[in-house]
Amino acid sequence: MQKDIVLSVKGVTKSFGGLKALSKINLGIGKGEIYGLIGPNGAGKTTLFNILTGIYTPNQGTFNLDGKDLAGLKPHLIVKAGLARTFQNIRLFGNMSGLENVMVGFHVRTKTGVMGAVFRHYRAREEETNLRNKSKSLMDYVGLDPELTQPSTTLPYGDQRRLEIARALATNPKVIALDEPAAGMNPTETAGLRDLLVRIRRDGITILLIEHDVKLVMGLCDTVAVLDYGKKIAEGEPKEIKANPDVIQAYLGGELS
Amino acid sequence: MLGSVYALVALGYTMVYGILGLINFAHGEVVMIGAMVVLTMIGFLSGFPAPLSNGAILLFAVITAILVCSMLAFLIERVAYRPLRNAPRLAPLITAIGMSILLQNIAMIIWGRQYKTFPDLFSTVSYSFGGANITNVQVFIIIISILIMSALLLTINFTRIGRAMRATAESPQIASLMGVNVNYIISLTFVLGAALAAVAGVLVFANYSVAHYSMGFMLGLKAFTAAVLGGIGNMAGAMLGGILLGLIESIGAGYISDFTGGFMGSHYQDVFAFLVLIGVLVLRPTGIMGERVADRT
Repeated sequence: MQKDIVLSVKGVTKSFGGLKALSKINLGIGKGEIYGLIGPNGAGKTTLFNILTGIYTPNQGTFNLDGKDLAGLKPHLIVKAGLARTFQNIRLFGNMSGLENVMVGFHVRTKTGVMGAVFRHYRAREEETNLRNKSKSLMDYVGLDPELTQPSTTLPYGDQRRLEIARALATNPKVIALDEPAAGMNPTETAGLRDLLVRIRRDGITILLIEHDVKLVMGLCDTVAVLDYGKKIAEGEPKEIKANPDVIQAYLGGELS
Repeated sequence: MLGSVYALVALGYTMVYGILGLINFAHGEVVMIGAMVVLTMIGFLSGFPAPLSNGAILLFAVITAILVCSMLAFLIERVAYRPLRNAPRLAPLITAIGMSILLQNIAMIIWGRQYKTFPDLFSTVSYSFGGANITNVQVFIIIISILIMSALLLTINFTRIGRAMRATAESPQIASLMGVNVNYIISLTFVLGAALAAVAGVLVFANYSVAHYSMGFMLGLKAFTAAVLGGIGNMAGAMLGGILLGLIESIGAGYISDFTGGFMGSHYQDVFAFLVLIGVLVLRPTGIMGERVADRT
């Protein structure tokens, strides 16, 4: 199967002191797919996300998005290149309203600088109105009420997760990386999330998904990679993964046999 | 009047604190440099072959002061704070104090030790209503301060750059992961604060007609008090704190002699600012408008 690769990770290695968190990870994420990344706790999934989004620089290896090498770039430049993320523990701007959080996401795709802010010329105001409308429709898209004015940390948990997704989508990414979006959700919320992810994929955005909810991953992803102790032990379609003895050994513990 | 100047300077403290969690003790010195640059520029422009109107001279001088102070603040951040961004919090605090002393001494070398007087560009007119006296300079100061502060509040709350600043204040890391260039925003915050400080420097200088290389120290401390009073890190709080502190000082200085039966005179004015500082820190450390205990270690 020949995939059109959008995000390619080559030989990424990261150690913290003597601990090898990731060793020689290779991934090829195809355009428009939902790519699942699973593995036991401490397998290095979030470390990989942190490398991909520029928080850490890899010791070795590189990764590129649509052919553009991103390794070692500052986080905001990676976002600009088209890779956005959400967080395992929700990290919203708590003092801002939901709408404002989304508007921050648009920062990188808008231009008005200091002069525009000070003199508020026509173009700056137009951009601001435009931005507000686009942010509202994004909130609508993820299923949130755009008129919510309360500080974002007081929103219900599931809504906060959706808001993070909206904020990441606002950066107009090619690939959106979701770090355990279903964590702590009840079954109804998870079902809603699943619909949202399907809609995002349909709109042409590639999804890289870390998730513990095995049912969600197996039902949703086109490709799944499994990490264990910083190594990739398997990659393939969900049904291959389910049948892979290494995976069952390392992670699923035989449950799905 | 005095209050609106405190408010302008306090905004500089509070913006930097809000974003970096750092008390920029060199901020008062930026105010002083602003006043000094205006003095030099007025002297320079007055000697121009083609005579300029006094208003034009003042305007050019103030613009120069804003530019110089902005560049200065940019450099201070680059040299003294950015290398210590991830150091323990005590380290940048010490460099801030060091920077403050350094700037004072540089100013002393450039402008000398003597008190400088403000050139007579315009005549002071005094108005009186309801028993209170106010000069045209003071009216001007109040108007300018209000204009600047409203512009700043609008910028912070309703523009792209302002949003990026608030996002950075909440969490620099998350802001950068959402595509905000954090270093740019931090530099910008210092520059904006310095521009306000430059204006404040000119206003103080115009009002008291004296400038001195050490004038920034006391002014900075009082503005810091104002920022703490309002709730440090909170912009509206800084403005309110500044104005309140100005009122407390003036009223206190006016009546202290009556309270103490002539034992203490109005030259004890400075006492009030620091009584307020101690009072706030003991009774309500988060200040009037501070909600969270601003601590980010």
